Amino acid sequence: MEKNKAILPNILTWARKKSPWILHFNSGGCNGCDIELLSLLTPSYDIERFGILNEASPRHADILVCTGPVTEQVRPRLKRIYDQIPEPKWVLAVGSCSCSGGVFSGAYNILGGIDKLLPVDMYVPGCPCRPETIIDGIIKLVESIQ
Amino acid sequence: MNILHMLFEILIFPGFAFVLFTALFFHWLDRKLIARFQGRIGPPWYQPVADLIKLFSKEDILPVGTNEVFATLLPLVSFAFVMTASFYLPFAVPTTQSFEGDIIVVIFLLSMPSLLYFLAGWITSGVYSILGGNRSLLQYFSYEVLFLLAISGTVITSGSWSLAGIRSAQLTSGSYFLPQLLGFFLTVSGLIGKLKRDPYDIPKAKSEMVAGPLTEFSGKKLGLWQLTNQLQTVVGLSFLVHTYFGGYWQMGTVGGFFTFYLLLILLQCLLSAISAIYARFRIDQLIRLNWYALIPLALIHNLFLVLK
Amino acid sequence: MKLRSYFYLLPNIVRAFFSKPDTVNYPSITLEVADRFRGSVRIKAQNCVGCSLCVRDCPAQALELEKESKNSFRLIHYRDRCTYCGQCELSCRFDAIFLDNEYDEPSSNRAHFIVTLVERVPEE
Repeated sequence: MEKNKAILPNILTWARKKSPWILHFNSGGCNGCDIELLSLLTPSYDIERFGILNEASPRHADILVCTGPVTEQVRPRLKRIYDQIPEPKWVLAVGSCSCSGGVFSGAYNILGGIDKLLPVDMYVPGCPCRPETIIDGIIKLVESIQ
Repeated sequence: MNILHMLFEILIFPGFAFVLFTALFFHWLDRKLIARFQGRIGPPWYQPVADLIKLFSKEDILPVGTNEVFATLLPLVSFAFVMTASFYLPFAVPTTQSFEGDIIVVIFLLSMPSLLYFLAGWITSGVYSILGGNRSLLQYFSYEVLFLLAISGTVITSGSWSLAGIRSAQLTSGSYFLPQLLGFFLTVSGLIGKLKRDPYDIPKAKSEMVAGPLTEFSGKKLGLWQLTNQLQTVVGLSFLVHTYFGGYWQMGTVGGFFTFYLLLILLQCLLSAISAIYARFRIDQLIRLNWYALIPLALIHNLFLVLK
Repeated sequence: MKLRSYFYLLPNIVRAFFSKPDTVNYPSITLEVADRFRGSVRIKAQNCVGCSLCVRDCPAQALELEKESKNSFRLIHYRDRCTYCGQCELSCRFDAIFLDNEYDEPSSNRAHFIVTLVERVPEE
């Protein structure tokens, strides 16, 4: 009986680790990180071998991959998109802008970093990040799933 | 003993569990094949299982104002429709009694999920879902006619409205695949529209419509919708095998089963290749292509078969 | 010929199917980086004099100098703010600060991104 209790959560964790679907959202950045992120879908990086799919609807996604310093205008939308992702969900901040505001930090119209609005699980530095770093970030995030 | 045997046939082989397993396997095969056609590696073999378990364990949310009973029933009912259709298309041993006219039943059961798909878009009342639902209905009026016209070529030649009759006619005259190559490709074109696969994936076009009617679905309901689509692929393909290749061949149970499976895999390769080659049509292009070119072609083909 | 345009991808997918995939199996095989790639900020600690030229020129304010006296200072680099533009390398007159070929690792904690590049305390 004890063993059966342990098996089901194990299967769930395994399934969550093996099929993290990502939702890509740009919260007002320069598009540099977005281009690097979309290059993950190309044959040379091919994130589908980790089971990752780029979903378009937040209701299908598990991981919110967010780029850009959160501008004041996009802030309520980002919050709404985050709320629309069903539990369990994670947030990956891609690029210096989304980690801390980057070159825009201190500007009047930005929030400066996603972690001021949402709980961020993994930060990926770089301006723009290399695709390898984003893969590393996603893998690290997926490995930390309990 | 007899009841146990029947239960085994319905629930495990070649019924429920086996068809589900086949659907998941063909979903993986499809994704892997498209990945390989594009020069990628593709997902590992356990991918559909992991996706399904993950989706079923996720939180289920619906927008405010959606009829929750309907939203729960629609994927279940469409899943039931496709599952019922799978019992009429036996893999190796017939599970249900074949009767005159069961081909119409199968076509009806296969076309119902598309209507429910439209309803799913309509009740969730998002902008994308309503637009996707409208598009799926528009598409429905073009490919469904083509599918029925093209499949009736085999009915005309065999002179029977039952799957068993078509099969036994092909056992004597040879398979209809080569003599009716045009009809076969027209049927495949209709089937792609039914499955909403790549050249005809106008209702759920990811780059313009988010996910079409399924935009607002999440968790278990989304998992069921996806499972329905995967099942529909397998059932549609085995329908093609039954009508154009003569079903399972007369090579004993095991041999018949393997040839059936091999034919299914080959047809899946064809579908995946078409998905990998062609880009999405626009809705007006699709309707113009269907009503101006493919449906007249199917009519002429049928006329030719009748005169012959 | 218009008909040809419907089939010109067919040989491509057949070739792709029967040849090895183009995918670089990244975590097991590391990709080569160009020589001019601007990666992490590193420093030759013995060259640094704490002149704060790099701090002044940094566009993202990713460098910070805590200076107490000429011989006692601390140069801190905030990796999460850095844009890897290489301005600090250009500004440095003592050949101390430079950009490496390696890229920074992701982390779940932002405290990992605060790196002390030089820490000089006066010798007793």
